Amino acid sequence: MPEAETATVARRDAWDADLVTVYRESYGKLVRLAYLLTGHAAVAEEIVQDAFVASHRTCDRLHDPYPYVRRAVVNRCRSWGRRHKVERSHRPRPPDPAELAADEMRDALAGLTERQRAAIVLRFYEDLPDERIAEILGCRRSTVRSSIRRGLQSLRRVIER
Amino acid sequence: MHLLDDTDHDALEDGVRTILRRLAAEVHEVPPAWEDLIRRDDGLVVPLRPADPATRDRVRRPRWHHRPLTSVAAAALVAAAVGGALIADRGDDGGAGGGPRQQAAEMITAISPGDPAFDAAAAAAVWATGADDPVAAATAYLAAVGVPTAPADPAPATVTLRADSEQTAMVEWSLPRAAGPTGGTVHLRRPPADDAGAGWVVVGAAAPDLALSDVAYDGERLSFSVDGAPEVGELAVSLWVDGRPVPLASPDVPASGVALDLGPDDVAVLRLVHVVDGGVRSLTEVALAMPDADPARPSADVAATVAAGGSATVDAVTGAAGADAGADAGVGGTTPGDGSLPGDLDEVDDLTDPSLPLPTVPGDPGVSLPPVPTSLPPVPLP
Repeated sequence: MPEAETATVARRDAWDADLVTVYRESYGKLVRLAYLLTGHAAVAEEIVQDAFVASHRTCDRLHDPYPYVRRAVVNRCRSWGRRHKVERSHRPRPPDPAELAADEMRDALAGLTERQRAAIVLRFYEDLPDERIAEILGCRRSTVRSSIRRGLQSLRRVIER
Repeated sequence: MHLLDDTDHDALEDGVRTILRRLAAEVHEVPPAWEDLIRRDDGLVVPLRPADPATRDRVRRPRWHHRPLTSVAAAALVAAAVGGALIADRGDDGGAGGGPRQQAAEMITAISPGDPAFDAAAAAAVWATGADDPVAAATAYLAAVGVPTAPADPAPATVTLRADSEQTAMVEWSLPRAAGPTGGTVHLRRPPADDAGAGWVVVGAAAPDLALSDVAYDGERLSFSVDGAPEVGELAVSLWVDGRPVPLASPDVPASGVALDLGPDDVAVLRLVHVVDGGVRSLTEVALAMPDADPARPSADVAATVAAGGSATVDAVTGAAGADAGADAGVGGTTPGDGSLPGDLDEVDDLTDPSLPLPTVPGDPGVSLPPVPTSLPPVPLP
């Protein structure tokens, strides 16, 4: 086998091995991330599985598959979200967000724009810094900051409604 | 606007964190075995994707389903660059003030087919065929763009099915006799099962050496980047909105992008073609769908005819910054957007085949379309 081909095969094997590890260790985490972004558990699982299948077709692009798959999941969730508008809830909210029932918070999240929702979830669930969020969402850091600020303001308004 | 003080803000952030974790804990996922999952990629098992009534309802037969390979050279010849941007003027509505302008605070983005996050099952259609085979559909699409695919062509492209699932397909193409990177992939989506007679729709195309990235619309402007810098030939960018070619007309190259007035159900399609010696070398196409757009409706018109050496039949020509891309078109200035060429460009001869019938728009026999370009003659570089 030519040297270049051997190297390619080795890269693919390494990628696949890492991807399998990410799948086994982080599948649940990614599904929960997708669930927060879509609000639908079945859709979340489907999106994550699609992202892994798509990532399996790729190799040697990155050394660490997790950020790659996570970005694919977030972008697929955003794409899904653009096509499936979620109804806003108009039920009254308790004043303290910590006291919000889960479904009420889910409705509040659904009322955000998809970018605001993604920024909020990546910041407060994934605990990512602005730079990483900007990279995932394909926007500037200032846009991330404004999305988070506006998202929080919207959540606050919902909470105070 | 409610202004938060620091205490409020911290409490709100803590509350959001708490609730997000509580929400996330609701999910009890059941991952399939890895081997079963990746077998989906080979089409050997029934896909796990459940039926989605909402999606199926939206996927209707493309309105141009039976439209023949018509239409026109609507290419804008540009020397595109990384970060290149254009100014466009909607010719059909008299410009930016012609329709209800969407003051969208939200940026609408499109994922390019070359991106791993691209989802062909959800992407907006850019071109429709009556073909019930993905390879035939991709071949027809490539031929319409100007890629030689017929066996009688001197150096026809090879078109191969690369991946096929229940809903989508990826077809790979290349020009075996051409030097350098050629070809790419065409991404397709299967028509709904209850729409007998509908063919595969093309939802995008990707090239190995070029990409349209950061495609986004902020409510007023469409922006994008061209990634890649071919050493020879030119890059041509075409833009359609809702199936109509958009004149690209400005000698200025604002970094802010294309001034564009998109309606809530419009689909904008960007096509980037790399041309060498008058022949299409590679192709990238991506659709940006507004929130209410019908994802099944193809938006790009068929033929993007391009030519090297600063000559082209175009609706308009833009002079985007081009030096960084290595392109050599040297095209600058503007055209009126009426199909005529600026004074410093020469029209390309013999782009049409007079033996072909003049196509008409179905249902509107009074409207005729220009002849179909069937080949791209070599045009010498200046």
